[in-house]
Amino acid sequence: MKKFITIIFVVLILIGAVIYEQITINNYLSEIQDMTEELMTITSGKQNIQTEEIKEKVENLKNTWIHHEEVLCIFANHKDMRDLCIEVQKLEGNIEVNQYEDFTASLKVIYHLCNDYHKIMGTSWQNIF
Amino acid sequence: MLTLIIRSIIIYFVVLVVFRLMGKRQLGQMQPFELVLTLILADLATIPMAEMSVPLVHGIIPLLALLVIHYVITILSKHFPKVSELFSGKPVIVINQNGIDYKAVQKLNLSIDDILESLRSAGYFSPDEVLFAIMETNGKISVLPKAQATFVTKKDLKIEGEENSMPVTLVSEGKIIQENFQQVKVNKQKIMDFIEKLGVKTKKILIFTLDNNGKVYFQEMHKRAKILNTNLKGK
Repeated sequence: MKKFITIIFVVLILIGAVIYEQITINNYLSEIQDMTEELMTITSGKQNIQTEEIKEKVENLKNTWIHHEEVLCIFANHKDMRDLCIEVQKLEGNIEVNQYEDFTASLKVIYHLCNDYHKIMGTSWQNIF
Repeated sequence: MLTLIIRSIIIYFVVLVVFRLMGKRQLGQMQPFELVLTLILADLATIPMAEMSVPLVHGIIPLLALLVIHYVITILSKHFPKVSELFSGKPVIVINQNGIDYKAVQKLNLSIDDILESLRSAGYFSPDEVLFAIMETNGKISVLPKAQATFVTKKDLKIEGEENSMPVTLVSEGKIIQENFQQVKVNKQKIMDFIEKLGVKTKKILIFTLDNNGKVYFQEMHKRAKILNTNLKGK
């Protein structure tokens, strides 16, 4: 009976971990994607990206990513998240030198990486097999 | 570096807990599914320990998942013989009254040498001494010897002997094992007085055992062992 209870407890831990992982990954990556999309809309057609609004949004995106990365590192291989981290870091540098093309390219990469991570980290038949 | 040490400690304890929950059978007579599990567990545990970029949960979660699978298989095997047969196979008679069953040996992917080796390990050096030999699901051989190859027992000779008694260790490497005094059902003070009479300090005793027949096995450190028959009999 004691062993049965322990196993049930382990099963509950596993179920809890799976649900928490799925929800966290979905929420966190969607949030980053939304913020990136917003930045893409704001900067669309603008050649000058050195505005306070963009700087603030990039700063927000960076801080949110740093916070989320700490949690995502618990579930995902750290190497998988390195690319996204680099692209987020690049955004600030692009604003400093007003590199619009590189800035939007980085935003697109972040957006697509989030999409990819959804597929890599989530549960799907493709991932299982 | 500290992270690696902490990760290793965590993994060590998780593996230890998993093995404890799997039961003692793991260590000795493993069934095929238990062997598979042990092999996977060993590998799973080392990956997150050595690779810092792999999250610790990538090691712990599969370990727990395997523990659950193992438990489910064990329960199913217990209740459904067919499942047990599927996962562990069934015992096979390799030697019967007609001699070695070569078909059965071939089915088990064994050679005659393997069978002879197993028989020798079981204490039988010739198949002639064996009436039946069964290859168990854990790979060990069980032997039913022919009547002429069996040892003569007291029962065969109709001799009544004193029942064997389990010796209990009361002092080991100079340390008194308190909980064992209850097992021998002899007053502790009486035993301590006996030790004092031997003229040896408890700290100097390597081993002191006592069985219910009052037999004492006693050895002082760096000295020869003594066997003493005493009146320290349990109730």
